[in-house]
Amino acid sequence: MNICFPEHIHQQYKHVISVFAAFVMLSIIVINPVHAQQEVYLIAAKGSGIEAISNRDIRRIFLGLKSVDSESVNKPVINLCDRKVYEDFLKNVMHMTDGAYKRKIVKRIFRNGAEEIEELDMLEELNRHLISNVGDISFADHDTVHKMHDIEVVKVLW
Amino acid sequence: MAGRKFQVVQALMAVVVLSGCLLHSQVVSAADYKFNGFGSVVVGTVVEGDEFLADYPKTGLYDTDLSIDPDTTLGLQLSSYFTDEFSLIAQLVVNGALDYDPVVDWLYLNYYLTPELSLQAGRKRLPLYYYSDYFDVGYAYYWIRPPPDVYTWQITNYNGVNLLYETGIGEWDAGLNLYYGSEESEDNELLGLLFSAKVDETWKDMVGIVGMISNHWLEVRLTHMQGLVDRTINGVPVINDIRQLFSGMSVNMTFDQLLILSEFNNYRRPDDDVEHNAYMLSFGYQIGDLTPHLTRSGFRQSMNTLGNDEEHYTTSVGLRWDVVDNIAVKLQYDRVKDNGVIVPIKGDSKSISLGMDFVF
Repeated sequence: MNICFPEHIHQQYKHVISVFAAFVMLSIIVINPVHAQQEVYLIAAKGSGIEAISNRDIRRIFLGLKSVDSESVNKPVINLCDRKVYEDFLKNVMHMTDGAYKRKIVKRIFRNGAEEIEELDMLEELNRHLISNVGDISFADHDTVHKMHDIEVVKVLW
Repeated sequence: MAGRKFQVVQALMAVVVLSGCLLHSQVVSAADYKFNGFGSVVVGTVVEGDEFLADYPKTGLYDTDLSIDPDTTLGLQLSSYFTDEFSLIAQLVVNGALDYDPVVDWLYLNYYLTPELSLQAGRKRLPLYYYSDYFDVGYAYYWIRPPPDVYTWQITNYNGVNLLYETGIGEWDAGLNLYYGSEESEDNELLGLLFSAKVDETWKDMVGIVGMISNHWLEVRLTHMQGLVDRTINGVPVINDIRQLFSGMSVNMTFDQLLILSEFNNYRRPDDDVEHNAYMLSFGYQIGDLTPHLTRSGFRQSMNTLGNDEEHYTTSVGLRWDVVDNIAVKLQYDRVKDNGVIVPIKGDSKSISLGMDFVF
């Protein structure tokens, strides 16, 4: 069955559809920007000598265990300067939520006498800490790393 | 209490001797000390029935009055890192159920032979159950206390040595713990409550193995221990060099917000015709800072020639609220069904507890 609309209605619909399509496209651009998600890196002070390190070993170190891959790795430092990066780190590398991670660390402290993992929420402080504790590792996104000095990227985490 | 002091002295001696050896070999340089602590303040009462045995090993007992003692705990841990490989761990705990007398739970030396293998010597928690090592650290789990039906142990520590291997296998974390040791308990709290008499108990020549494997959603723990038991009641030996065996399995799963925890244990003294089984199955669901949970646990001792018939079940419903990073508030309701006739454990009860756990 063919339904024939009068020409003026057809034109009006065409106009509405065009406006709607433009609105949808604009919304997609505004709501979901197409620029790439920032890369997040494992970082250490320049000259740390840390070369190859697996994600498995990174997870191990951030659980308070010793590194198996590299003798140059000292201690982990949690970067809390950007809460989103921290939560993504827990999700992508540690495979757990903030609560689960904290409880796991508490278990290790009171079960194995493991050291508490240092948490820093000021970028300057994190930068200073890494430089004065060569071998300590942390994580940061692309923009953050560019704001730091004497820091090297050990590995792209994601 | 005197027995416990004797054990602590033994552990101290072991630690001192090992420290001496390591000092002599000039391993120790400047020590880095760290203090950590944990605590639980819990208030609870029995709302139906007479009494509720919330903590078997310490005999933390609630009655119809409001009480703060049965589950209230404070612990302080000193970790001394002499070198990257060598450390001393000491933990002092006070429990309301033990009249706030300080107890040394941990006092051991840890030495990393390799990044994955460590040798530990001194006084430690006896790792029979999944939550044995941090039974008193309420912050580490969502209940007010681990399910009492499962944690019915009268000996919670041992003095000895263990070899701990922690490694990775692909995407899995794996651990193996081998231990050997003994423990003497004079005037044991739990056995004293059960027998209404002064009971001294010794677990000796304990040899145990704990294996653990986990990934981001599944954790499996297997444990086995065997050793010998001596027991005297009012000074009269009733058990001498009797073999005991303990086996257990825990399977824990995490599916996004859903947590499934389980534990199954079997204890046997074949020569005494004693055998009992305990289990726990628990579901928790994380909704932001809140974790509601539901748990069913049970303990059943097979009827034997002595006529023992200990049998009790607990259903618990609770809520954990992570108020801030290091503090959790918990509310829990426990309903106990005690089917023991010859050996009843305080009868049926319904109780409610409100607690706050913290770590620092």
